[in-house]
Amino acid sequence: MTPPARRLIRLHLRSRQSGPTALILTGIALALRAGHPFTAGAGLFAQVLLLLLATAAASVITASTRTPFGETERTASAPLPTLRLAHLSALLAVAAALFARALATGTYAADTTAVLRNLAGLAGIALLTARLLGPHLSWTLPIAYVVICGNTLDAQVTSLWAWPDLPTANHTASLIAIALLTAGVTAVTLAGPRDRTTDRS
Amino acid sequence: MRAALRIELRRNSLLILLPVSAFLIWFAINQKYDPVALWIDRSSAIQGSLQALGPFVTGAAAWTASREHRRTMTDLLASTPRNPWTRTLTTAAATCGWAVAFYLAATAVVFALTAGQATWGEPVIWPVLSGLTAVIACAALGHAAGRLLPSLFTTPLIAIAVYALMAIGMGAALNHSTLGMLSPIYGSIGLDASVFYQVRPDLALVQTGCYLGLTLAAIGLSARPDPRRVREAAARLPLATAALGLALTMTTLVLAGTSRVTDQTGNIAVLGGSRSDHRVGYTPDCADGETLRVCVHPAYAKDLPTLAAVINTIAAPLTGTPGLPQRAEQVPDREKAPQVQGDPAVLTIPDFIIHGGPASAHDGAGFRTRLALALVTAPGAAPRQATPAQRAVALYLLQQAGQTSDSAIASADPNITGAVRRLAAFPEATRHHWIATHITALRAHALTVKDLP
Repeated sequence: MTPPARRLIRLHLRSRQSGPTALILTGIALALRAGHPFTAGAGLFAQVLLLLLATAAASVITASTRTPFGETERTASAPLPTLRLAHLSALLAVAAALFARALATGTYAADTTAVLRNLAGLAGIALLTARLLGPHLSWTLPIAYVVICGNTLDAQVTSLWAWPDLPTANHTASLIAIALLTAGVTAVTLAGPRDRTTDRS
Repeated sequence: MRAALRIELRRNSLLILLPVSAFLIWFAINQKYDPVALWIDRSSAIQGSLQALGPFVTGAAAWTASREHRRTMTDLLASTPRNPWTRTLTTAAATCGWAVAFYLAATAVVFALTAGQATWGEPVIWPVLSGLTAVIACAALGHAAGRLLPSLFTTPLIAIAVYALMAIGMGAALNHSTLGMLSPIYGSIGLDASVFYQVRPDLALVQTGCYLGLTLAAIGLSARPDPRRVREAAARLPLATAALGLALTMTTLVLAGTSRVTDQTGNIAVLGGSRSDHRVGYTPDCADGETLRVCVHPAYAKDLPTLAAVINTIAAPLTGTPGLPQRAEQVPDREKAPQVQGDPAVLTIPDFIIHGGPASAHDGAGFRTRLALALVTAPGAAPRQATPAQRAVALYLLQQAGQTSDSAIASADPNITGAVRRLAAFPEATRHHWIATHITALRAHALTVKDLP
């Protein structure tokens, strides 16, 4: 399989609104920096806010996987998995770089590694949701998961089911996040997000 | 219009999200499903369920509101005679209708369960009302966002933004910011000691006004009103609605700024007085033990057997000794409990729940340690000011009762541990005689650890 031409990658990125997505990711990173007074302490809500900002970045990346062409695109001879992988890799790298830059400017409720781990894991959940339900609903399960994590934080319960609450030193939590990201990226790269519309409204 | 509403209700995107919300509400409430069912607690939990419902209502409303843009039908529908504002309000009404129906159904389930468990009181409607208007406001905000900024990214971003605002407000309120109390997940009634005082609706009324104002402002702004067309009737109504909503919201912000958050009840000065003016009368539920008679508020009646057993087991070696209270009674002020107070002496008990999850197990150890210290220190003394000799006797009381202690409250060095061991080794009659003879001196700080037998 020959790699797609540079022009094809550029057109694919444009069709997936990668420019606006990168701009919104920049906005989220700026919000992370601007919200420092609310995310600096070690309290419950500071940690929940950090999780929500990571969820916002993950949801925006996943929403951009929606194809504007539908089935027509599948009939083209261009290798879609490679294009999808290039698209996701680029946006995930941009999000990680922007978050790392924003987090380097201050002390937050969670350290940089933990926030990046959560970004990776939540992006994985969002991508898996996009594969199952479609990109327009990809934000639902990550938000639901953050609600659950917030409740376990509130109850002072530590469990691997709420791995984003665990400290960076917990390697199992990091492995879960990496596994989720790998599963999500693989599912969306190979099969694409669900494009048979579940949106009846 | 009615047919359009029926279609919107049938095809609303919120329907597939409601099971997720139902699971989250069950998860959140189940975690705090304490054995003692208090109506105020459960009513407040209904309002707290907004965190599990609000983001999904907002997202669904934004998604349905951006439908015309997504389906590239904006120009086509612009050519129809119906006012576009009233047409799109049908979609908002459908989302709002499902959200309200779900919220009321969740309320009915929680209240039905509570009715079978609670031993005192009645449902408190204020937090439910506040939550209901917040649900409507979430739908309106999502609708406005979807109409004004139709894009792929609007739905997730507005849903997350609403949740983030709730969290920011709650965090700010816990740091004594008065404006933060307008967060829908901040309890509109004070839970601390509320069974002892009449529930004040001050904050709930202000929250309700704020959410209604936000709803009106969002609905008005969703029409994209143009102030230059204010002479046209079609533009006047949305403008007036938005203006009224903004005015109402601003008024509630000012009112919230006048509140006091020191007692976590959010009393609004303009709307009423202090909670201490309105104590609720009740007949306590009491249980007689071998050492003390234990009385609690009837709302905590289910806790009484456990509580009476714990207190009497800890106090058992002090039976018949001078200065021992004959009665233990629950009081609303946690700062003053447990302590021995008044004449005749009464052992005060805080309005806590003695059993429950892991968090309350830790709280229970703290309570039991303070209770044991209160029995061997001077009336009204702070537990942390206890002398080593007092700590040794208190730790012995806990040990013989088979209870764990909280080392942060009563620390033990080798001298204290040795004294506890010696006390435990004595024959019961000898030990009781020694305690009865020396308890007054012990409370008066006149004994050291070396003076213990």
